Amino acid sequence: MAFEELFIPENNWFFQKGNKEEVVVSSKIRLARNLNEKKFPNHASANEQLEIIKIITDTLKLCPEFEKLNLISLQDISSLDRQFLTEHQLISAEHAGSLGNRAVGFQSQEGISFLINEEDHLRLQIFDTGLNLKKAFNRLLRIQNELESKVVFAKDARWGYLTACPTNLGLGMKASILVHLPALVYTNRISQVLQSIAQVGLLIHGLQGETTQIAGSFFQISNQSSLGKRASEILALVDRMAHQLVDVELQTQQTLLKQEGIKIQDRICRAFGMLKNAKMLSMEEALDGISALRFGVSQKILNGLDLPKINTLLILMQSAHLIKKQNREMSEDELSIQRADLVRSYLKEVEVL
Amino acid sequence: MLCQKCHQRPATVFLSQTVGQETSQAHLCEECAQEQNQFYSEFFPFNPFAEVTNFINGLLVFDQEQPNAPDMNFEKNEFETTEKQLQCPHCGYQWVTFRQNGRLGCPKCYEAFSRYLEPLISSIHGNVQYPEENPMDESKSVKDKKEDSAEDTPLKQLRTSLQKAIQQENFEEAAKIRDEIKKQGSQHGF
Ligand SMILES: [Zn+2]
Ligand SMILES: [Zn+2]
Repeated sequence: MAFEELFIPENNWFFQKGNKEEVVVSSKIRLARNLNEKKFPNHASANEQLEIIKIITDTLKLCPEFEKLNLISLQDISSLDRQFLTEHQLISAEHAGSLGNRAVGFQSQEGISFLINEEDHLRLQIFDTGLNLKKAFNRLLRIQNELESKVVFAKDARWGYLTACPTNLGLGMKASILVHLPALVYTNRISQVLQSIAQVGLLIHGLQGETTQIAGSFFQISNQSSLGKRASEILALVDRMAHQLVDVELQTQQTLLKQEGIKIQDRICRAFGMLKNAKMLSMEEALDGISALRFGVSQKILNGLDLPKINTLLILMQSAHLIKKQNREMSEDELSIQRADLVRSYLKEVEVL
Repeated sequence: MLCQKCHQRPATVFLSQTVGQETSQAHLCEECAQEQNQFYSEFFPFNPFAEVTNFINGLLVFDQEQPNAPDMNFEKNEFETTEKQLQCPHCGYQWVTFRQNGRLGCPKCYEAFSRYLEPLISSIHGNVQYPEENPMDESKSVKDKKEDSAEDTPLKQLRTSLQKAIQQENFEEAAKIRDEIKKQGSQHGF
């Protein structure tokens, strides 16, 4: 598949300004739902899996707003296409890599996707830029309610929505934020901060680190359990943590600039110089460089680049995106060359203030 | 199932980590899970959190008995045999498969395996229940509350008679009412 429309930044949710975007890259809500009386995807036969896909897609099409939904059977497309959809955050790596009949429906502009026959029959997910959990949740809840008025989801009085794995019982809900914490990583305060996050029962994942250094200083933070709680409590918990992280990261950035301003500026400018001139860039080099660039943009050290553009670059510079764009197979070296070309094209008008 | 690291003690801790697009998972015993620094470098392709110790994703405590240990206790062996043969009548899924992969076969499996799942679910989520009033939707719950106070809904009446039946130790009646509440609850989204 060509996915041409997905290469146009304006057609995607991530090309938008967001609340607290200096620190919070994106907000995401996911709901896991299963049809009553049907076997979970891992236990269902090929025909039963197809039946589940049919029930869910038919139900989705009954909603006026999803009449034109992009629907793709994942077993019918290439593994490159699946990797592309994963990089574009429309499906999960598990969904891309598993076997059996499975599908995805999505509206990239709205940040909405429906993962069918992943671990559960249906996973509804929505992204938004910046810190925007409540709005994203309300949007997804309205869709969930509309679907639930047409089809019965498996539910139990004690355990709530029934899911293939007992860890997702309850609301089947995961609220997460992707945060960028370069100053906390630089000052080595990060492990202390991460421990305090874990102590309030939130989960932390690092993003694409290939060494012990956390590449790019990006972290995903989410709730652990959604049983025995109200959705509003979960949202409030993650939102509170997000605000604390925003405050402490921005304070640390300010302090750093005050105390060792020239050193920080030097680091940011060197990263900028590297990205602006490099002829080859590995994914990790690009992530580390863009992390420094992001710091420079939010502290107004660099001019001519905004955060939505950086978000877009983070998506488009991934391997399957580069391959699809060129529409031919490429070696690792060629990928690095294409990645460097793309990054340079984004930095043409950027200057140091 | 046995710990994936030492292959000796039963796995009681379930760990997972997502790095970029990759999710890694491991089932470990308590001791091995505690050696986390070493653990991450061995089991996960990347090790971005070497210094962070509190990283346990979910605590799936399977029963502490080692399944293959020689056992002279006849009653217990019999118990283990029933556990091994346990199967969901709706979908045919076997309890032992769940113990291997942590996934159930169908929504009805929860009922079929409830006795074994209860302690596991409490260890993951704490000793909690799904809230009675719709916990997804604030606005709805406020509306329901108003309706509840304005008039006795059939559901509320049922709950009152359930309390009465339990107080009078009339458990047969209580079970009937409970099933009715369950039925109505699923129609009304609790
Ligand atoms: Zn062990
Ligand atoms: Zn079953």
